[in-house]
Amino acid sequence: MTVTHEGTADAGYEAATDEARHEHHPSDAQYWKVGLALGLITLLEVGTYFIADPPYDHELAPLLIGSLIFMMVLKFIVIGAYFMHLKFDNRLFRNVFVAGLVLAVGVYLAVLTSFEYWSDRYEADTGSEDAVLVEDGS
Amino acid sequence: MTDTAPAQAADTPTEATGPAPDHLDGVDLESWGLGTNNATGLSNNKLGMWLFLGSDCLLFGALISTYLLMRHRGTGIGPEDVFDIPFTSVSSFVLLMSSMSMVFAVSSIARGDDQKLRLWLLVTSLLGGTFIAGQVYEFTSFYREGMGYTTNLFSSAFYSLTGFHGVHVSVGIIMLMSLFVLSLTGRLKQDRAETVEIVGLYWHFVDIVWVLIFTIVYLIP
Amino acid sequence: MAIVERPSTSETLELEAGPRHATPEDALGVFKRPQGDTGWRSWLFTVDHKRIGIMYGAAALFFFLVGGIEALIIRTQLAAPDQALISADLYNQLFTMHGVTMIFLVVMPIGAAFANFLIPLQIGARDVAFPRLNAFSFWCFLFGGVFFNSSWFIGGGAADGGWFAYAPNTSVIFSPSHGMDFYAIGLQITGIASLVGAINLIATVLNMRAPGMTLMKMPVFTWMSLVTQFLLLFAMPVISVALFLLTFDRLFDANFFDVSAGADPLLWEHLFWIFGHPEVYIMILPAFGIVSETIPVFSRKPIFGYEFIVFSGAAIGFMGWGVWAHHMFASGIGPISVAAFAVSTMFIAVPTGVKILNWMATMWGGKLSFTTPMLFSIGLVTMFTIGGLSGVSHAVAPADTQQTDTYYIVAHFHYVLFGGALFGFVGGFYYWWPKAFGHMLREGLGKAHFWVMLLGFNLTFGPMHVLGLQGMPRRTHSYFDGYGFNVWNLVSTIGAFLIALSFLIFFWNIWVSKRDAKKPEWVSPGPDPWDARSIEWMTASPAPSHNFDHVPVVTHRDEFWYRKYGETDDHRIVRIAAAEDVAQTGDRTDVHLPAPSYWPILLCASFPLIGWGLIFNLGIAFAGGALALLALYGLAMEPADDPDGGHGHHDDHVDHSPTDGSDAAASPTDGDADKEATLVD
Repeated sequence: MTVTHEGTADAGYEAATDEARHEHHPSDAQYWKVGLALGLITLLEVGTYFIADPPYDHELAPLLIGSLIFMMVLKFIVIGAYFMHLKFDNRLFRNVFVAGLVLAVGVYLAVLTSFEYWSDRYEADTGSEDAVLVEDGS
Repeated sequence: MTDTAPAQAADTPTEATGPAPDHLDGVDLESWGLGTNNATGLSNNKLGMWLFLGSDCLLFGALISTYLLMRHRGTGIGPEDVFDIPFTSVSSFVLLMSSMSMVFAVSSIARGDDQKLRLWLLVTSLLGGTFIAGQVYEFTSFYREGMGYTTNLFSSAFYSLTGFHGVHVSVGIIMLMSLFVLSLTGRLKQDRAETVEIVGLYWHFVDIVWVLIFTIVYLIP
Repeated sequence: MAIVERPSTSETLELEAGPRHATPEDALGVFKRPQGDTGWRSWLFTVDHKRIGIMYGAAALFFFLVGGIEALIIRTQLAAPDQALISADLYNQLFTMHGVTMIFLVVMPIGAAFANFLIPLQIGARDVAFPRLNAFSFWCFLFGGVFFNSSWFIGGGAADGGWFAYAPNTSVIFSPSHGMDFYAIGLQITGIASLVGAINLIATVLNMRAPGMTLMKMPVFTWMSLVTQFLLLFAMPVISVALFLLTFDRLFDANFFDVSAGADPLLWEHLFWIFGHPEVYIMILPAFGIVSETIPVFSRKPIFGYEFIVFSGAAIGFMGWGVWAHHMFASGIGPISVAAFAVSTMFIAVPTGVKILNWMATMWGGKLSFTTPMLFSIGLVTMFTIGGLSGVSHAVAPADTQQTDTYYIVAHFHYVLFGGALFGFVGGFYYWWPKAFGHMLREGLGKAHFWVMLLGFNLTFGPMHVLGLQGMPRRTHSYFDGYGFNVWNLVSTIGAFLIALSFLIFFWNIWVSKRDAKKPEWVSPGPDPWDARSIEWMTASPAPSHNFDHVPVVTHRDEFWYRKYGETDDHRIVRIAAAEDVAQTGDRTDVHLPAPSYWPILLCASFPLIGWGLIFNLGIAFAGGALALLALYGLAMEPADDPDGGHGHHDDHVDHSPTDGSDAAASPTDGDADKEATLVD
């Protein structure tokens, strides 16, 4: 990973703790708006859940699940960017966090894929007493 | 001690026989804050917290994957049987709002407004406490419906994942209350705003983990 | 120089203007802070990264003895066919404990020892970013190791599921003793140590570099350690989760690996190896860093292809996350997974090969001097190459299914871990010994150590290739006569005892060299006995507690070398300064250092209590938890800096130091604590 020093020119050692840096940050009014938006997204999420009429027999189920995941990612990014200041802070902070996040998503998606989690066969194991993964060629 | 030895003079910046400036390769030594050994100008504490949060992504990733792999395997009680979405939606909303009040706590201390700081710290702790109370209620009602920790794969994985998150929230509440007490006793002033900010980072992280859990565990069963 | 024109507000440039989070009236420390720099207290409560590094090394060598004895018992049992010196059950415990001890309590801590001792010195810092957390990491590791090994005495049997602890073999049904509980909780504790250490050292490297020390001017060891710490940072939580699941299964009857409840025990293998493969690089990269320091010094050349060696190290760290399932080729993960991971595994051999090439190209055309550290470094390059080649043969999945669970695998990973990591570490001991203790280890004994170890190592593990290809399975307590295993097993056992002999030479060398240094005719090696290149040699030997009298301003890679050597107009390299003239004397006395603390060791002492309590009696766990809470508050509320503390120069090696005789009893010269900020913990 690269650490750039350019980004620190305006955020000297002193500035790291004093108020000067907070000038770049949103005002309380903006935080209210962000909070309101997050609450609205949550409402939408719950609404989507009830449209989907669990356990997801709705004909648009893939679309609804996709939009739920989209809203989840959106909330994640908004909280990270505004509440956690990642949008305004030094990029190094964002980099170390995103490194862990990307690694986690990549590695665990690979695990789920290796378990053939996305295939119907995995679901087909549901509830069977001797559920052991069925493997090709075995 | 004698300070005149050439050995020491060689690396004092005032010494002319030091390395020639053209070897500096355009490095802006100002950004090091000469003498402070701070190469990035960033706070150690804050960087440490971000590193920890990056690391914690892998922790919750493993727990969420474990849950996904286990929730539909095995027999007996399943997610559809116990989840109460309206209730969990409310507690998710409460945790989300606690994140917002945390932001106000951070900006209060940055302004030096101790009263507001304490108010928002208290509000955040109370909202977090409400969330935990909701979780306790949820666990209790699940248990009454016959879903113990050892009942089946789903129950073990569900309680472990949400339990780990609950422990994180509880640790956060303890930190918030500690800050509250510190502020009351006058030990948490504007010059230590960063401490509140760092606790805030932790708190927001706990919140975004719940954002993931709420969708992945509850809304997409 | 432009930078010198900055108005200097005071004589002392060090560590000013840091954000002071603590002022004297903030002090909530319950006790008076420990002070003084001699006696056992100065070690137990120290926050000095050098002392912590030395303690890491000493503790790791102790555990090395424990693990080595376990290995010798194993080899004695296998010396001849059909032996029954020990029971199969005890054999299981021995190979498990040997593996876990050597990996978690020897190789990783030695890497941490070097990282702790060297990183601040190599980047020109006073200490690490969080000195008290550094002490916490060490004690956490030590108490974790002690807790883990206490299973021999109170666990009803030590861990017996292999270091990999595959489920469901580790369930209570198949492993009824408490051994695996000790394994799960013990590794959890050492994992906390590694995680905290990683956060600390990453913050140190990123934030605490001396002026001018850009990332691409850092010594290679620091670079490799940085990559290692990132691997630890992201790998430890994965094993933490796996161990939590195992603990919950065993202690609280959860179902995670219970096949009868529908669980798939492959989950353990995935989680374990997602951690386990980065772990391989966590163990080897510090040793790579060490030889990248020694080979240029003893070849009288700069490292060949610095950028390549740095980026290949980072590439190894990155790619190390995409190959874990090659440990699971025989477990039935499916053909697509096998193919994908086989390909990624073959790719990761490339950056490793780049490094081998760089070291050889560094030596090529150099003026080689075969000192003990150089011999061990060359030992690493050659032995690791052998291990690397057998490793590539595992990447070929069809071949791997033949090799899995045979001694061929045992041969491979000992060639990379012993022939790789340990050779590098021992070379590092010889190389930096004078910087740590002020005196050299004897060269003659060192060379004897090397040759006996090289011979013993190859006799022990070379034959295992043959045994494995003949089909001898690992982890079996005995073998039948008549399978053709007898001769090679005997050779291997003889080799194991030769390795033991080589380490006896090493320990003798440590003792006799220390005795030498006390003799009146002994001559100090000075700050720079090897004519080295990086700035840790630019301060006195042993390094004073404040590291540098003046934080050096860095303008070059190999800064120290450029201060000693220059180039004439006709491009000849000539010496322009003696090392003694360039190096700092280390006798400054007015540097305010982070104060020692009681809390780290107290906090860590609570962890074994919690562990034992979880296994035997929850009451003890609550007592441990209460202690932990108390100590955590103590640690958090105590200012990192003791306003009443003495200033600087806590040098306990006064007798051996060439330069500081004049001020051994120096008293604080500057009482104004506010003028001198310290590292903020």
